[in-house]
Amino acid sequence: MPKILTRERLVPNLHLLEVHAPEVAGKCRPGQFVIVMPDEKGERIPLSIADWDVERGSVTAVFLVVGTTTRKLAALKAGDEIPVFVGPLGRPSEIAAFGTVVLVAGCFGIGALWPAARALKAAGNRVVALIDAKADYLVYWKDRFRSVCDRVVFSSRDYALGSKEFVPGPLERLLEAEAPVARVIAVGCTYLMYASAQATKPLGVKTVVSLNPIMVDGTGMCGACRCTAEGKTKFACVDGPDFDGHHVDWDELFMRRKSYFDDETRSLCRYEETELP
Amino acid sequence: MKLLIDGRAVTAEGTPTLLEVARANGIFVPALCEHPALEPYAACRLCLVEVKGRKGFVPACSTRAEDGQEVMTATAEIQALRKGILELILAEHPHACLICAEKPSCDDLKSTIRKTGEVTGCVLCPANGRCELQRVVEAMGLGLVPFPSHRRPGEVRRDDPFIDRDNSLCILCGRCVRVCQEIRGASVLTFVSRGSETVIGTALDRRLLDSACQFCGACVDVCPTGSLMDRGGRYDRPAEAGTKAVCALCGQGCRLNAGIREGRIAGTSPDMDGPVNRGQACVKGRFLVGPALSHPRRLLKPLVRENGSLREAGWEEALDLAAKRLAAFAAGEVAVSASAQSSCEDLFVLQRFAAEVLRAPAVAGPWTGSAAAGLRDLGRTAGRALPLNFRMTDIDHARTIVVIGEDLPVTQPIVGLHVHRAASMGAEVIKVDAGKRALGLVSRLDRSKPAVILFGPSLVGGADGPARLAALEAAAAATGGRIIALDREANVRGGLAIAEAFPTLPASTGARALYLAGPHPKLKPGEAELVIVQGSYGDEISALADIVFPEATSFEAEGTFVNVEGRIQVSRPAVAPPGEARPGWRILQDLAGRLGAKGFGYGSEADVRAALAEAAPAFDAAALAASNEGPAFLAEGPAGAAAFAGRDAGRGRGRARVAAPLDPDDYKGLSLVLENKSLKLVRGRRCPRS
Amino acid sequence: MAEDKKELAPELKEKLKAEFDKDWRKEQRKSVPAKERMKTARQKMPERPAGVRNRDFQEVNTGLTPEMALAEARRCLDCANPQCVAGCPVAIDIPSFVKLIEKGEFLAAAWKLKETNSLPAICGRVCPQETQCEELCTMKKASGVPVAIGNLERFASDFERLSGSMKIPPLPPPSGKKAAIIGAGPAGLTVAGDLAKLGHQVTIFEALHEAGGVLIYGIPEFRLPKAILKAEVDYLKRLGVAVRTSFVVGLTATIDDLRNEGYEAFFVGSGAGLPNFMKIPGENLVGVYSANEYLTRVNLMRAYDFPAYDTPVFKARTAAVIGGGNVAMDSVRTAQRLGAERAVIVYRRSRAEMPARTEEIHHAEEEGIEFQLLTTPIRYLGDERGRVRAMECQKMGLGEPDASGRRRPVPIEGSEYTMDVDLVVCAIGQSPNPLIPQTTPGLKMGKWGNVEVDWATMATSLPGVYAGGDIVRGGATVILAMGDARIAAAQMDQYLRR
Repeated sequence: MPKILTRERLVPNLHLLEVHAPEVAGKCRPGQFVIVMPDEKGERIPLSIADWDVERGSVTAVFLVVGTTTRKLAALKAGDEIPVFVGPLGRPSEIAAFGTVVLVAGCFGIGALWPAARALKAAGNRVVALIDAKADYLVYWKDRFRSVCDRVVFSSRDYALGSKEFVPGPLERLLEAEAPVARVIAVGCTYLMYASAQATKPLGVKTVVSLNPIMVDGTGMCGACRCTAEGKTKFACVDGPDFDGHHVDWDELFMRRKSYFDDETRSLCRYEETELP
Repeated sequence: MKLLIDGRAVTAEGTPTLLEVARANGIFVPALCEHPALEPYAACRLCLVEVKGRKGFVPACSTRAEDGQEVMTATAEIQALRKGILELILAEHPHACLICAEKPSCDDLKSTIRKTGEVTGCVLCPANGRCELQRVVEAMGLGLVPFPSHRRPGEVRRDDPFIDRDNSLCILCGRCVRVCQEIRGASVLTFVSRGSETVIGTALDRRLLDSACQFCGACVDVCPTGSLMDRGGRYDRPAEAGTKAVCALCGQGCRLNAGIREGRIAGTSPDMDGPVNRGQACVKGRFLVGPALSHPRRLLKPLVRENGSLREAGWEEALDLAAKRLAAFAAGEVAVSASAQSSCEDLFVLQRFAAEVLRAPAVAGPWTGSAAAGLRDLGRTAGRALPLNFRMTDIDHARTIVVIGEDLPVTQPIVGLHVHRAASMGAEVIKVDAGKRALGLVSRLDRSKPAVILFGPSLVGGADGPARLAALEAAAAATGGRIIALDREANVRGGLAIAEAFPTLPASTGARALYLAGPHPKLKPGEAELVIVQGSYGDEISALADIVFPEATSFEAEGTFVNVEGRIQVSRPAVAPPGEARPGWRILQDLAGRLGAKGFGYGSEADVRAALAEAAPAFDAAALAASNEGPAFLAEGPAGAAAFAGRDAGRGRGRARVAAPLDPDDYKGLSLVLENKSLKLVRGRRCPRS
Repeated sequence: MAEDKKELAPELKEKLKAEFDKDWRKEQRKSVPAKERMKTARQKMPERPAGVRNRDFQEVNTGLTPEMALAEARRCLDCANPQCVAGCPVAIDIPSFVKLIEKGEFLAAAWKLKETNSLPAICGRVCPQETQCEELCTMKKASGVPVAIGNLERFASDFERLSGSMKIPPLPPPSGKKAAIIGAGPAGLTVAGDLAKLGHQVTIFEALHEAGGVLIYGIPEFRLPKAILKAEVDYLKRLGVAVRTSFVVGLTATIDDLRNEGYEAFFVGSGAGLPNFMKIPGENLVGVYSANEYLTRVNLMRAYDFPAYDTPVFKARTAAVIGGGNVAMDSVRTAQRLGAERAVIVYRRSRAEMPARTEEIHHAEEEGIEFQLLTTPIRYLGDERGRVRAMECQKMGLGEPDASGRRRPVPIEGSEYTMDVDLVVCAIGQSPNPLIPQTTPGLKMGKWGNVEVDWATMATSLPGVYAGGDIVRGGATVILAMGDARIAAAQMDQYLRR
């Protein structure tokens, strides 16, 4: 079984997981994800790939703690084994010389966009990053982004980051200042991606989002991750996860993501009953 | 008195604070460290107001209203000041969501549980929607916090049962420290370190389990944010409905608010207006009601024994079978046991059933060996009416308190609060075991100080029990104080009063059959020809029964309980009984009907109560009817006592076998301490108690 | 589509005859007259009572006892020209194994089975014998009731597994050649077993985290206990087969990558892992599942044991399953076991056209499954939370036969009605999973996403790459996959030794 090389808390509530998976590492491309299962009785969940190291044979993902599975992942230590770490899944992000690309990243999206940031820069783009965070202490990998991006700005509700708004306002101003912007890539929680797509729609800037529906197998076999994009039903795991944000049925995605809220609550309560005093 | 607030004339009586007067008149003054149950603290400074003639600003929470004052609560200066204070508070509390314009849509659309990791904003906080800080921010309309956001380090502490602690959310209001010290007397939580390093913590940063914490949950109840949280209630959506119920897990008679979701109890918290508990509870009433009611050992369906093993049956079949088999026994051949945790309605009908239908000599109930019975018997022997009734507040005024053989936080939590109150006002508290030492100590009490002697069932057992009790009573009387009997189960007083209404007959040869609606000493297989169990939980005894009737618990049926004070409280059902469980008195009613008995046709609990009032003088009809308005107590006094003087009230001949006093954490045969791993941890400690 | 019935090849006929002529067989035929054999009634497979079994996931059939097996085996006439073999897609020597059971040599019967069928415990449970071996059974022609060949196959293989003496046949010297099998489903497992027995070094690459393919995610515990599958996979491992799970060929590594690692021959058995939806309004409502997802959650992820296992699945009060095949039967019976008060099959044709195994339909009826036949859904209606709450249906009539030979369903105008449901499982069929086709350049595909093969050799357009099972046929059966696998393995062996 794949071994954990590192599991550390990067910032409050957000953890980094580095797993020894040489074959996966050799194949990773920006925008792809892995499916992990923390133990024999666990769930299969998708995590965006944040980095990989072919020499070390490792793949890195970042995740927020939001439910039972992520609680279990956050409890893992280096040396532990994990039953499932399969990938890289999904279609890689489109990387080409587009011109000026604005990356909108929030929470785990910061990690998820890191591979795209450096690939886009290497492809000759002007890369501008808009990082959203609730507070300064929640931003990680600032140096990495600053080293690769031409410009890094923040949207936040924290005075320390000099901003007091959520994404839409800062994004609109950025698009104006950096015009013409060839495309926007937004990765983060569903609300952030939705808000970004709403903000860019009237400006007509192509916006790519990385959809995050519930998944089970991750290889297109079950259809749990189906969402509606461009009026057709697509599977996020094999047709995506990147989609055109202006043609996604967001309402459907929001509702489908809430499918198991009550069960998830039960599962968490049971996890705590068994694990805690 | 009359005063002006913001130019408005208002009146007030008594000695209220300016904050209380403002609130009473619908004037909003924000306050976070203030709490109606606690002494004013004036720490958060949000409630600063201007009083004409006084320099600067005064905290409304700790300033007494005076006649003729002119108070301004919302001048521009005050608003700016308040805003500044709030900003400072928020600088150290995750505030992104509090000031974010997107919060309503973001909160609505978020789909994961989110409240399980570290809190970085309201949408990830378990207190979202019930946070007092949120309310203050909303009321004051804050748009920006002009300070960098600072997060107090540390992760959520989950190393204790029941309670999660998250220092990153704490606003240092001090309510938890104060309630634990002022009201509970445990002083577990305190301010640790100084200046910007200040956090709330325990001595030496120990777990709550390793301190004097009794897990009463008072700190959780007063915490304005999500810093101290009830783990069980962390993830659920808010309850759909709420009702009040009288807790029957011990003899204090606390009133609880029960949150209901999908027909089950989602959680309980103490009722601020509960006449006995006044917003306080204990670990059982606070955290264990739901788990007790839904325990896997709950009896849900009637069971009958067939071919050597028990199988599920319908009520009709089970009742018919029980009636048929009971009919075969003559007077005195069926022994009946009852529980002191059953309601008065259940106990009254059981007593009637035993006396009239089964013609059993007596009903064995735990009240027989109870502290209350002991005190009552003492009164009769001595020929004077020794009052059993008392009020919790009586204890507050004692100058000396002697606690004999009772671990108050475990067996008498609310009494314990009043003992602590007296102690904080200078009373001397003496704790002693129920042995010979007790007598020695007590004989040396200072007669100038009224003493209250609190004792439990452990004092009255054995041959010299009555003598010990007599000596203690005399000692208390000599100081101008009194002696108070404290029993553990929810309805010992009620059971005792009801039992007195039924004469005890001389015992006959021996019981051939058992009807067990209460605890019974260990049963040997084949000991009786017929065993019928009426209970809520399966155990070794029900496993040996021939017929088992599933009974509703006190939270699932209307029931009257009399607490240690003698206070009569009627509890309405919070939820429906699970499965096919039924209230005890209804089971007996159906059984009586099948056995051809008359007069058991009660339509409702109210009918049972009316009959009870007629049969038992202590349950004055007026008192019962008034149960829900003002305080109603068991009737006592010379008339009551004299009426029984000379009646054989269960001592000596014909006394049925009585089980040993129940473990205080036992509920209807379910040992909460053994069956709940969290309570087990709490009770299993050997640590210094307050 | 390939022909399912094959003429008995001359070598096969010879092999059968050689066994038929053995002394013990002659004596056995003489020992009981044919007339007596024909008069014996067929042994009924013991089942758990419907009212009990439809609340849990334990196996419905409890298996023949040895006495019952003996009695049933005795019914077989041991025909000189055994038509049953012609009906078997992998041409098992049926008379031999049945007669070994009659002889009382149960282990030998199991080993005889395993000469041709590497997964007999599974086939005995899931094959549609009524359209295969038992359809052509002479006893069926003579008395109307065929010999219970499937039940006997199950009996013998279970006996072997429970006896603890799973025999490994003697293996030839290693060929030194590596073969990669993509997919650990029935086709892949069969190819792996065959090639391993021929001395090759075989590795199976499976995308999911447990081997079995449809056997583990699709077929419920109450039809095929996982313990049996595990025993079969363990057997393969003992033959030297390596199984690498959580490995997605096409993403984690391509076929070319594997070539670079020394694999020379490939078998693509990645299955029909693409759920078909009806593309009607409301299909993306919460609570509308593909059968693949529904069954994967329950079977592979053990959602029936939630919350001990973390994966949830809806437990509905009224569940509607659209479809009439085995997958639909599995789904609807699962829904009932998860507590549905009403579990309904909605199928657009009539009972006679239902492609599911007769026994499964029969079991479903006993368990109280409702059948709304000649009905099809036209739209799903949701509540304000986006969850399905009702289904609009239309009644159908049967018109002229279509390409599959079954009568075509024709909508009846004005027959629409609405039915309250809170769970829908769409079990109208599966298509081949597109991952391998999409990531393997040069692999010739058919028009509905299947891999094209030469049916005589199961070879694809790429040299050294073979395919079989649902990836080639669309959603079909386990035994057909195994039949393809048989052929492919033989071809791959030749290819590796060229």
